[in-house]
Amino acid sequence: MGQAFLIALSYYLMQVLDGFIGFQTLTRPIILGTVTGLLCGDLKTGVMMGTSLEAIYMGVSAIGGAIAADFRTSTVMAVGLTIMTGIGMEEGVALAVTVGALMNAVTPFVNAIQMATHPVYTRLAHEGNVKAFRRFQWFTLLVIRHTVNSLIIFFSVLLGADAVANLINTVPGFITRGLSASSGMLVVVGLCLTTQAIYNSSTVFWVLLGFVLFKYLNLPVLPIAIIGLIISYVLYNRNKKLNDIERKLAEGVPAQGGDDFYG
Amino acid sequence: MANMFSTLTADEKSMLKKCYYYSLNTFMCFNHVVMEGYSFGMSVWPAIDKFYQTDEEKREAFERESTEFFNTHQVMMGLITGIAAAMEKERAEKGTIDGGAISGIKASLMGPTAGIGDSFFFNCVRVIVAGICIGIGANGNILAPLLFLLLYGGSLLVTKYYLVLFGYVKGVDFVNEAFENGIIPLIMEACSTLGAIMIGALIASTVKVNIAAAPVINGASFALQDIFDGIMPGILSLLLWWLVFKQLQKGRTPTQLIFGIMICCVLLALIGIF
Repeated sequence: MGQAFLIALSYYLMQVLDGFIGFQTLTRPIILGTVTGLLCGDLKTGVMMGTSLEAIYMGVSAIGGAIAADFRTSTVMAVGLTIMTGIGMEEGVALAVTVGALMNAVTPFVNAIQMATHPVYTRLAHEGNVKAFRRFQWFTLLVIRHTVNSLIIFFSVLLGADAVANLINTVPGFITRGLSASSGMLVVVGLCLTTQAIYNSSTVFWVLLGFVLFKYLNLPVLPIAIIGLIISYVLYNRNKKLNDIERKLAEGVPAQGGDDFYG
Repeated sequence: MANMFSTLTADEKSMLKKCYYYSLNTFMCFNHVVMEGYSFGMSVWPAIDKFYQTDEEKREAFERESTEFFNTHQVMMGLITGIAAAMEKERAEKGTIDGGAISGIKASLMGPTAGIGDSFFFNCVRVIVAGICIGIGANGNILAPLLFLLLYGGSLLVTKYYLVLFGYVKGVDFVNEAFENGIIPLIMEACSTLGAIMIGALIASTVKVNIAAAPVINGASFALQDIFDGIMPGILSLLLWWLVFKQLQKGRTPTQLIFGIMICCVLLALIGIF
């Protein structure tokens, strides 16, 4: 019970802290392993294992082909279990692969819950209630984002990964598949909101251009942005000239040398 | 560096510090609808609060900033926060910029900055710092994680702070100059063109519609996804975008669309489409 709690706690704590500071540093194996080591009572092992896991997940070196799992889960489980039960690092990482797979199985639900927060955010923003909006950000961070994964780690260590897998498998597959398909699609709602904000008569064609450049020519985003920049600069220049001419016409500046020409 | 930021008043500096503080919280909330959008809106809020006069104007600006799609590398978000803050300032004080221009700038900048940020910070800075620290920490030396935190985490934090200031100062300069030359409407049009192209690229790269169904007819199996991709790769993503956009134009709310899509997906999965 105690060790399951400490392992899950170090995961939850560092995820929340990293989410708050946002610099994607505290959950790197080298830091996360150290903190797990500290909480579980063996700082030195934590640093050593965190360091070698950092190397593994950087792609610098590999162990036993077992690097498919989420590096955060692997780190807390490998470090925590090594310190408290004495299993080796390879076994810890291998166990984490199973737990990582369990997390993947519940990801569609966690995502669905997070997407279901959108109406709350839009309502608070629409009311202009920034304080409540901020409070709801805190609620999302502390309660919604990392709780399920932390609980999976906790129960996997406590009861064994098989018991947790059996529980997850009771959910009908089509719900998981459907929700997972929807998280691939829902970005479209956010993109459509932006489309609506910038919409004019030629928007659809420019969207098609960006789409074709990415899908057909397989260009990365940066060159597409450069091409887009060139196009919009050329358009801008032409419009500016038209604009200048219109202004001159409106001011009634006579065309220069016109008289000479006809003279 | 200090010279460049000397034009900032003490008031603006304290506002930008607040923007920076909120912009740090990039991953406090994240979902597949707007990704970092809520956090981005929060990071521009101090500027909105400072420059707009009435509560109604503030409400309108905050709603516009915080409910749109936004996604980039978290450090580069600082730059866009600064630029958006500068544009909100101009919009509040002179009223020449419309909200769409700000959305266009966000949409055009997030893709390229994400690419730059990811490759610079993840594939360059982190690899170098981790390389140093892995050597030190192999024997359990506590210096290794501390150094990693200081060099990698620290460099991210400092860079982000200066990017917020830089984006704001340059943004204000640029918009002022554009205002004097009377070219704001032209720039707005250019922004929406570039923004639309980037949205096209984002639809192609982030919207995923994968059909699993492969009905067997006369012993031959037809993978529906292959048939659609044969017509045009990613055609389903594009159709979905157009459909959802039309529904938004008709006045459906994002909430209705989100739950509509989720329910449809589960039902389609039940009959074996997904």
